[in-house]
Amino acid sequence: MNAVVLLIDDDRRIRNSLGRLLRVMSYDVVEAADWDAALELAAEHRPDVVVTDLHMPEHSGVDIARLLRSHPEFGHTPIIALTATPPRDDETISLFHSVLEKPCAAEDLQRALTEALQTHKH
Amino acid sequence: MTRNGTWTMGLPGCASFDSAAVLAPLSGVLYYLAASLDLMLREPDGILLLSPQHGVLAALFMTTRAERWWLIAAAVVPAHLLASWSTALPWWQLAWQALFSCGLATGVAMTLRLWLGQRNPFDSLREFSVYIVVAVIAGPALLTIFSPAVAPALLSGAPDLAIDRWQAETVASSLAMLTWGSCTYLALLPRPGWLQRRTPAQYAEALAIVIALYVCFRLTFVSDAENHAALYLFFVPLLWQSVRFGVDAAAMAVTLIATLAAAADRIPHSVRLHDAPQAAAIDLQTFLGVMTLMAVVIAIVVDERRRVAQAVSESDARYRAIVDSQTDFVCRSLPDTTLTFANAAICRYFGMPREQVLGTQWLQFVPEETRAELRQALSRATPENPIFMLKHPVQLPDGRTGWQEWVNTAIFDAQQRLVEFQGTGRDITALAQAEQALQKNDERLSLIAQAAGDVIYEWDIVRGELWSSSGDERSAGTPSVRHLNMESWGCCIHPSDRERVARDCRQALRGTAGTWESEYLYIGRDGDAPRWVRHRAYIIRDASGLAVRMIGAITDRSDRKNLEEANRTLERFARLAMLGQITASIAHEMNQPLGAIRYNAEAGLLFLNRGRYDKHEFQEIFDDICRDNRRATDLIGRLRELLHDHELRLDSVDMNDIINDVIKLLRIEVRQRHVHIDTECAELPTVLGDHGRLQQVLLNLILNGMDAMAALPETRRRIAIRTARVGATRIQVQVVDRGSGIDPATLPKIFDSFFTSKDHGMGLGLAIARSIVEAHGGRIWAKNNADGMGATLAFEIDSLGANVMLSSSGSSDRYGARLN
Repeated sequence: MNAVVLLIDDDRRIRNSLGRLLRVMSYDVVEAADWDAALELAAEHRPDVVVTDLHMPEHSGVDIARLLRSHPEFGHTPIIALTATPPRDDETISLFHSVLEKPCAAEDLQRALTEALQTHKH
Repeated sequence: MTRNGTWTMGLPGCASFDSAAVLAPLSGVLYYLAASLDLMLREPDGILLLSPQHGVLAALFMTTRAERWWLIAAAVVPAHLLASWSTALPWWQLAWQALFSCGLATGVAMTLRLWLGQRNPFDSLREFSVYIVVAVIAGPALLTIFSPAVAPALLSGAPDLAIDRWQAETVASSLAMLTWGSCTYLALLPRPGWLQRRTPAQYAEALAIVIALYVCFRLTFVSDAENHAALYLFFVPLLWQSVRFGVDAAAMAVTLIATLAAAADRIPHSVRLHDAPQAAAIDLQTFLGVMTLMAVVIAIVVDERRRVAQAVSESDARYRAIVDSQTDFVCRSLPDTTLTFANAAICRYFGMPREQVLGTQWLQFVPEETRAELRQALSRATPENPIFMLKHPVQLPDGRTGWQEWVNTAIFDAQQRLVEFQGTGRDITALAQAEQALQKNDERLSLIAQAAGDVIYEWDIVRGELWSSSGDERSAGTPSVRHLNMESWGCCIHPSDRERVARDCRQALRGTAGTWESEYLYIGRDGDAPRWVRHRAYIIRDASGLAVRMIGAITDRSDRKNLEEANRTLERFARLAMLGQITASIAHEMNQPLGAIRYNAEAGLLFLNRGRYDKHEFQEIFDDICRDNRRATDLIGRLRELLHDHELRLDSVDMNDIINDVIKLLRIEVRQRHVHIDTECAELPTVLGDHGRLQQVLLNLILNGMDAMAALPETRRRIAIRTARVGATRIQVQVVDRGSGIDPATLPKIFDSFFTSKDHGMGLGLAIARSIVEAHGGRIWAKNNADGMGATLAFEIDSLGANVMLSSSGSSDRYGARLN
């Protein structure tokens, strides 16, 4: 069974293209455009890993990561951040399994996902 | 003792008779003549009327130093013997007479010398009264006892005879002292030029007096007719000559008359009160004595008065000579400025004789336009403040205008009425000209500085005073001195440069440098247009190295040629600065399409690698890539529009679209600054405008609003963007913030270049917004919100593109006009 990836990005075209890539990489992908949709889908699909954009209107990727970390069920679900302007403070970085600079190479994404999934399984 | 100011008498007579060779024979001759006269005057019956030799001898002693008296005595004794030999008296009696004469004369002379010192007994009534007491009364009365006529009678026990003789001898001696004594004394006084000073008219007058006296004498003493009136007639010529010719002439006249009267054959009835010859002689002597006294006393009084008057006139002349020799002006004038006195300096100054100057109102010398002002100044003098200064121009005789400075004193009478003005003044034309020249020089310097477009200044650091050729045309030609310190100078520098320039300058002043140079944005004192200036200065230090003065020039760098270039650069710079504020947003916007392209490409590659050739899938991938590429290209285009200063590119644009684009561009910014943006967009017609430029306007307005709310709590940071139609063709965009509003004083200035109320920023954003809106033929404004919360910045443009300026240089000019 394929691992489930929750992809959060407010930009539809990013969701389309990145979702397509992840699917080619043999992941099951659920796409959310914002905080509400993300929480709903997470509860429904119980993703193995979360990939999120950091800069979004209303609630940013950081807000979502904090929420998930404090969530009883998703506290240990690895989160991979994709961003053009990576955060510099350790507190924010520690929320994520890894922070990738956008746009990232497919291999890097693949490697990050693989690592995250292995960590999660242990 | 001074008389007539021409000679000085030390010890009377000393100068003339000091040498024995003169004194001895002179004494001898004079005594011989007097003694002979005495014998001649003796009546046959032995009645004595006048003893001239006593007077002559007393005068000789009085005019000679005591050490020389023995010379006189030595000459007198043989002279007496010689003169009296014919009387056939025994020799010892003759010798006694001679010794008695000498004794009487020395006694009188010595007493007078002791009493009067070296004063002339005929100088004043005081001295003359001493002479009367000593020489005329006491001397003869006391010493005659020792005469050869009295003493033997006294010794032989005949007191009546002795008294008669004493009386006769005393009165004869007294009369002689009054007449011959005074006459000889005065004649012996050295008086050079005494005769020469007389005019022919005076000689004629003297002659007339002599004739009159002679006629009176004939009528009284010689005529047979008893004429009482003639006696009084005597007094007329006598008084006349006393008044006119003084004590010398009076003494001479009375001596002559007394001598003639004594020589006359008889004593006229007019003076005679007694029949007895002895008593009648005394009557005559009394008459002569009174007459003499009167004439001499009057002469002395008149002389004294004359001398006082002369002294006064001399001192007046001396005073006037001092006043006239002044180069300063001295004058007195009536309250209406009519001159009553003017010294020679004033007459010379105006080239007029004194008579013409006096009686002229000095205001006539003053140019007409100044007179009213001076009259006012004169009227301000009061008894409490009588002294005042005047400085005014005067019309010189050669047509030039001179300047005078006066110190005037107003004189008031007891009723506090203005009586006259006294003034001393001086010519200050040269001074005034020098002042004018200096002022002209200042003006010239100032004009040169203006022509050069520079401000030249000298700053006295110690006193904090600034002289500068103000480079601004409103005060052309009038260099001004103002007070300046670092703070007030700092106000002329744009806030963005102020700190740096002030720090540099302070450092230079504290150090040892001789010069200082800087470039900065100069904004002037009262909201003048800002200019780039270059400031060069010399620092002048005192001996200890302390900077005391700074002399420098501020040169305008923003000349016309560089202006547009500078403006364009500034505008570009401002745009870059603005974009710099939103780099996060731009990076994000750019990354989105680039990211999407990348992911699609990677996905396609993976499909190929895994041997999956789903045509439909590939179709979608390439479509997406193309669309995202367009999206990125669009964004780059918009950024180029924002960055490049091309001419206005007019298209039909939808203002609501522009607003959405801008909000998108600001997304990250908005989130980071925790600002909430609400939009209330009405249905709008498309407008003819430049998409990029209008974006720029909105960006600037929104960024300004965000800045205004930076200090507010996050929940209150809200910006509302509203669009509306105004009238048929115009659209309006409002950006409303909820900040602290704009200070009403600066409200009209916020769209000016380089105006900023922020700590950072250049004050260009809103200026650029205005220039763009105006280039679109629209207008832009700002107002504080009615509820007191924040401000609204709004602009309006015509949807049909009315009034659009198609040339970018037009916009640049307008902008430039403000910059400069």
